[in-house]
Amino acid sequence: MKKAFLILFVSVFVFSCAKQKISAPLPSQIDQPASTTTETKSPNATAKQEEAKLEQLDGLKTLTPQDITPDMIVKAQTTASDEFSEKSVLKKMIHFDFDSYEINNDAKKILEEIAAYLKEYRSLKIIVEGHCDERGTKEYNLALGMKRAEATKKYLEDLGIEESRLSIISYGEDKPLDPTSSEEAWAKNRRAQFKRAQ
Amino acid sequence: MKKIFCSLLFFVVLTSYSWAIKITITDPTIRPFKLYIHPYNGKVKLYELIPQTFKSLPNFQILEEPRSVDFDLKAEDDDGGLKITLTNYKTNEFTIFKMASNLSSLYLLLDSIYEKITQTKGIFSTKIVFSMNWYGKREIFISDFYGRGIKKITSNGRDSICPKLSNNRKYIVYTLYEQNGGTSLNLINLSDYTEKKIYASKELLLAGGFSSDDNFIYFTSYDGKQSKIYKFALANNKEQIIYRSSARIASPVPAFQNGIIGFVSDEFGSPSVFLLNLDNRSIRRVTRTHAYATSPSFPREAGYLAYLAQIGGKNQIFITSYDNTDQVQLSYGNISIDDIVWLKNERFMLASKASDKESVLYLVDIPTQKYIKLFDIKANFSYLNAN
Repeated sequence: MKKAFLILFVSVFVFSCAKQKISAPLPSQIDQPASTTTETKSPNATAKQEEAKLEQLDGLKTLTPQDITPDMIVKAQTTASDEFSEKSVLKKMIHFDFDSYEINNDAKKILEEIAAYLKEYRSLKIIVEGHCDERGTKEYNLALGMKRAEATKKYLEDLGIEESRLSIISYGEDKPLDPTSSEEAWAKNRRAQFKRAQ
Repeated sequence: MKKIFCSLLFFVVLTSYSWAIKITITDPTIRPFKLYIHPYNGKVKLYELIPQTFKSLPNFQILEEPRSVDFDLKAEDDDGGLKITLTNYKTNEFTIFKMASNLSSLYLLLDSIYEKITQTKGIFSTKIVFSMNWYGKREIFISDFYGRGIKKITSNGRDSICPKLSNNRKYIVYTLYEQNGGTSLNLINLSDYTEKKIYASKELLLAGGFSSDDNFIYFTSYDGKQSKIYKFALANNKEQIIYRSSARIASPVPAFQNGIIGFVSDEFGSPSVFLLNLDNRSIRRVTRTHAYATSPSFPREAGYLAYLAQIGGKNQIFITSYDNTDQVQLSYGNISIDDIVWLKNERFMLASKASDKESVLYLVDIPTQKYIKLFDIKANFSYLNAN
């Protein structure tokens, strides 16, 4: 079996004001004229101060990767907002196609129900959360989730809900309903869901 | 077994005020520094990280015998800490370092030794920040280089993402989801861990990064219809919109020189990396493939940048000149990288790979393409940043 070793060596030559930085030093660079010098560097003082300061801070316990246990890191996996009863229409979610923020027919029906509910409870303000599947990049998915939340909000406004009662936010791919990597999971995760604004 | 050595050398040539760059490929020889480390049987347990570190670096060759060496290292106990003597046999120069028995002192020592031997910047004092799930919400964490001291520095009980560390390592700015919708940017002072809200909006704010002098923060806002890039002055808390677009914009990362911001936008379809020239507000599209491109990261010297692009469903690392006339793929294979950050020594980059159950942080040695595992956590961490 052949092994391929790829060696990249990056040298930067700048003819203006910059200087060479990336290259590993060549032998000539360490062949300095012989001399014998002694110098002492003492990182102690500042490091000790820094440690002491950190130790004074309550709640800033230092962890190692081994200290981090599964119960601490409960996934950001969400279900629909627990604040709504099982029967509440606001417990419902709408779903989107891949890389799309278009409101499909199924979603339209749900949004009509939600609009009717909001018309009945006129003091209720809600936050529309946009979510994405894990494909694509993290920050791009935050923007896509925002686009989904905005499209959902716009549809509710078109159904007569005042803009002042609707806020939007995106969690991108950070809060999957189903954290597995499958078409089925991704379809569940591409969604908008609702939360009561305080 | 046949070994194939493929060697690439980039000569990046640029003139001042010019974006023109030429990358040429040639055959370099990389000579490792031959280092002998004397046995140490003292009391300082942290010592073990010193030989481990140098053994892991591709530009070092750790010899078993003190013959034909360039340098040697000898450690002795000293007042609860260590006294390290580094001898350069080429110059007959020796240097004495003292280290207290704590991690911060150890990292300073590793940097000092690395710098003395290679004459390039040390990387071991680098601080690493990321966002990680914590009892159901994302909080911000800071770590040292080898993950030996990880600290949770927010306790918001609300999702906190996109931490960015200042160049002087004194501040972190991050995005916090607000209770009633909208987001805010919050600044943590790492000297006392005090925190203040510096900007809030009903829109989605994404912290981008600090200017090279740490006087400004760049960030984006997006309301689902329009994106804006802001420059925020920390001296007077004034923000200024420097670019707006109907496209979705993310990751506004300032370069260290030449007044350039790198960002990701879907202005022409799939997400691509763009550069914004702060002097004349013109933009330049860097990546032109159909692959999703993201995570622009700049080295300290101007003229080129790294980014991630999706190839066959996996994120791979690329380095390109600003005008994209010269580009090199730096990673291949099955590892899909989630985030990259170029370190202060341009030879190295940090790369993270996160799955649902485990996240791994690698040190990437660019010349040899070697991935050195720094630490892993049994959790999904993301939004990597370092300085």
